Amino acid sequence: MLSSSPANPLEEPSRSKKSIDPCIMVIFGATGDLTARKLLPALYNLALEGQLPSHFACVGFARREKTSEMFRQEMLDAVNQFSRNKPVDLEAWNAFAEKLFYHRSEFDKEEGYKSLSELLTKLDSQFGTKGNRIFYLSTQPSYFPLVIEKLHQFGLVYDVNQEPQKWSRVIIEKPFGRDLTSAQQLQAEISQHLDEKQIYRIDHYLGKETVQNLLVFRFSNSIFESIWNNRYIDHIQITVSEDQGIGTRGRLWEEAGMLRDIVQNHMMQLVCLVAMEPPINLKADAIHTEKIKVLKAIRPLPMDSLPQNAIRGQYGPGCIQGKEVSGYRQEANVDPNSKIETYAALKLFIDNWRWMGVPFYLRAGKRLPKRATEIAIIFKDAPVYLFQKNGVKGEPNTLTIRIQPDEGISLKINCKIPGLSNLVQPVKMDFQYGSYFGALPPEAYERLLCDCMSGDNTLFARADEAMASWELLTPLLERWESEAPVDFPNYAAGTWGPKAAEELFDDGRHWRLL
Amino acid sequence: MTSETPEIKIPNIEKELVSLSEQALDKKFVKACLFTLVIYAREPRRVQYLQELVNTILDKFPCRIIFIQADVHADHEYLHVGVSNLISGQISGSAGAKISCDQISIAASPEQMFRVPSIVIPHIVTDLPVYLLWGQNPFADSDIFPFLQSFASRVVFDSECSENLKLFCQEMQVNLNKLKMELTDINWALVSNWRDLLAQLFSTPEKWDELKNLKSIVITYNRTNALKHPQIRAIYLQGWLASRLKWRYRQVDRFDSEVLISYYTDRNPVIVALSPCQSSELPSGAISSLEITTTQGTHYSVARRHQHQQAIIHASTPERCELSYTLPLPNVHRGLAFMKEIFYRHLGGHYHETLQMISQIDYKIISDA
Repeated sequence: MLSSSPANPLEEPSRSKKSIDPCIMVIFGATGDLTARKLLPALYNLALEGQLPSHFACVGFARREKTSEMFRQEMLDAVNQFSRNKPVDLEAWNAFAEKLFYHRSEFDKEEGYKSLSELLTKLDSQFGTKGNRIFYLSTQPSYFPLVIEKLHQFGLVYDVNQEPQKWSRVIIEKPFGRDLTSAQQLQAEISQHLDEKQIYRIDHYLGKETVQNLLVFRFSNSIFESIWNNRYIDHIQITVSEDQGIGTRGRLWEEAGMLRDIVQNHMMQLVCLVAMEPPINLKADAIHTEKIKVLKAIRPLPMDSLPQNAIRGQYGPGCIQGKEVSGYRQEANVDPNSKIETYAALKLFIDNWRWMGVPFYLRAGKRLPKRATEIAIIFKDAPVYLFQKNGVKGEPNTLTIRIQPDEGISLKINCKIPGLSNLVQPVKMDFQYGSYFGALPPEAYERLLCDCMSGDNTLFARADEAMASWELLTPLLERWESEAPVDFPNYAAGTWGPKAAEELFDDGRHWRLL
Repeated sequence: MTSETPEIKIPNIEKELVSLSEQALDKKFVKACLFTLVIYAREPRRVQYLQELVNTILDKFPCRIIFIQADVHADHEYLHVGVSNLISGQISGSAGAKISCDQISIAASPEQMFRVPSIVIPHIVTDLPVYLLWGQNPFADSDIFPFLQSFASRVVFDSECSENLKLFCQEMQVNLNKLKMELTDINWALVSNWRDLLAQLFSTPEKWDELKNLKSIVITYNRTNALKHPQIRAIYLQGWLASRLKWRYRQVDRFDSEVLISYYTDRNPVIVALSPCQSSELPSGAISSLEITTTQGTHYSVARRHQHQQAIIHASTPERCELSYTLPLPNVHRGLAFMKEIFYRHLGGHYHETLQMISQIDYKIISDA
């Protein structure tokens, strides 16, 4: 038996885990919302569950003046508020906080990087982190090239060919560019200093349990995969609905808008996962390769008939769950005449054998009636509908994959109402993750940070994916920017978006009521 | 069957379950079931332990429970059946809504046990996995196990219940080769965290050399009166190391409460000491620490930090003392980690070889300790 075992005599092949190397994570923009709400709670939960490497440290890098002790206290408050494990286990926190530091500097000041380098060297010897680095860029996107250039200048990112014994990885938050040109420019700038293997473009949707389950659902249940094509599927709807407004992100939102913030990254990734062919294996490259094929097969939006294929909207004042809320233009740091969209809906076609003729309807909006993200597969009607009454057909079968909240899968089927007549009623077979697997799954950021530490980029976007997505959407962005909307705000907060969004449909299709 | 579960007639089981489900729905409980779990407790003293295991399972995975309680010491013949609703965990993100599960409880004297399979089989939930949780050596049971075995997706058994561990190891080796179903030995599962930790601790070629030069290992475990063989997990862990490192069993000795197991290796003798401690923090039989020494004087002290699901490691050589560090040591006695170990892991070649190794030990000396 020993001869066929791996070299480590104590390692059982079926139990081998991803190896997570010792490392230091440096968070740029550490005083921002993302660090407090997501990154530190994720690191704390990983520490709590013994998933962090034993030799680990974390450094927050930001411009505000504060000490490591102040930073720790602020992060403790944040973890208390935002962690999925509450209340904070103080003993575990204290052990974690010993490895948490703050480094103050402007992003463009060389002294800041020089002293960061000295700090990291010191932490290496203190915590045994062996020179391995993760740099998490949670800054405004305009700083990405500058920070990466400085990291390179001060030897903080390594040449993958010259220093194979240690590694450096850079996690880049969305958006990766503002359009195709800027994304290409950004890619050109960062690839001067980084190998593609070192770049982790994060899209937290891909870390969500239900999104990962999409692959399992599609490729381990043959009954669905065999009808997953244009012969049986009428159309697909993907919805990302938020009841919240833009909150304190007014300034950022004014530069981004819904198409850049949600559609270009999250929604296009969901389209890929729904539409991709089975990969040859589960390795990162195999999955990326299938996703890029989908993106390249999406038909460009027809600019001559845009209103039938792309709709934008902006919310005005209204009511959400009985509470009056202000319109987008009344939000803080927003231009009172803003033309930025808070709603976007698209009709896309994928021109390949599997999906030819099947419309993919995408909608994403702020201040819609409820928070819900789902993918709905609407199947074609039976060829002959025997149970038609008064010309009314039955409901189409619909498979719904709910991503948030109440993650789960449901299938709507038609059923006979008991009795002498042949009345038909749609019913739902419903699977809720929470009902079967009561434990709260790890947060998306926990999974993604862990993957980055172990060098697995399967759940991160590859450069060509980001470019293909921008290539598709940039003409639309340019058109929308050049032709200011005349009807904004065109939907009231608390409604399902602008009326014009219904015009994307023909043949009696309509948006699902969530 | 618990004293508060009222007895019902056997033909009414399904009807009573439906009635309970309706009552649960009225209370806004959600019904869910991932599998059928059939539990068999042969001795009354094991019931509480197995019930705790069931609670641990229900906490994470809703299922239909069929709890069979035999009483080998019964002084009269009886066969009692009852049904009840058990509450599994809360539905996450659903404002405290709870999940209810069916439980069928069967209690019988030995003379009536032959009827039990006919009560169990109609109530197995179709299309879902069937797990048998056997509170004794399943292969030593001729009343129920042979009838349910063909329906089972997996048998989870508690080797600690065996009267004679040596005999159990020998029987299990034979049956492992014959059985087609998946098996889980709870005690093997409960040392999986220590096996993973040691594999990580000795994960580099330099460290594999150290493994060849081991001189002594002290395994400290929590000894309480709740278990018949409280040292069983320590025995599994040392047996696994011995089999992986190709040691040859020499003898077992006892000094007061400490058991010493000696092995030959190609280079030098190795002595493993099983040393009891008493801890209110740890479950009975759980391993609390390891002390590993090599012939070159390298020493590893590995101590469990139970609350943190980590172990802290102090390593030293005659020349230097390394900074202490931690490695993950998940709590496999509860939660999802426990579920993964008992319901999803495959008993591989390491287990088989471990049984071979520990079946050579003279348990009479150990069990007197």
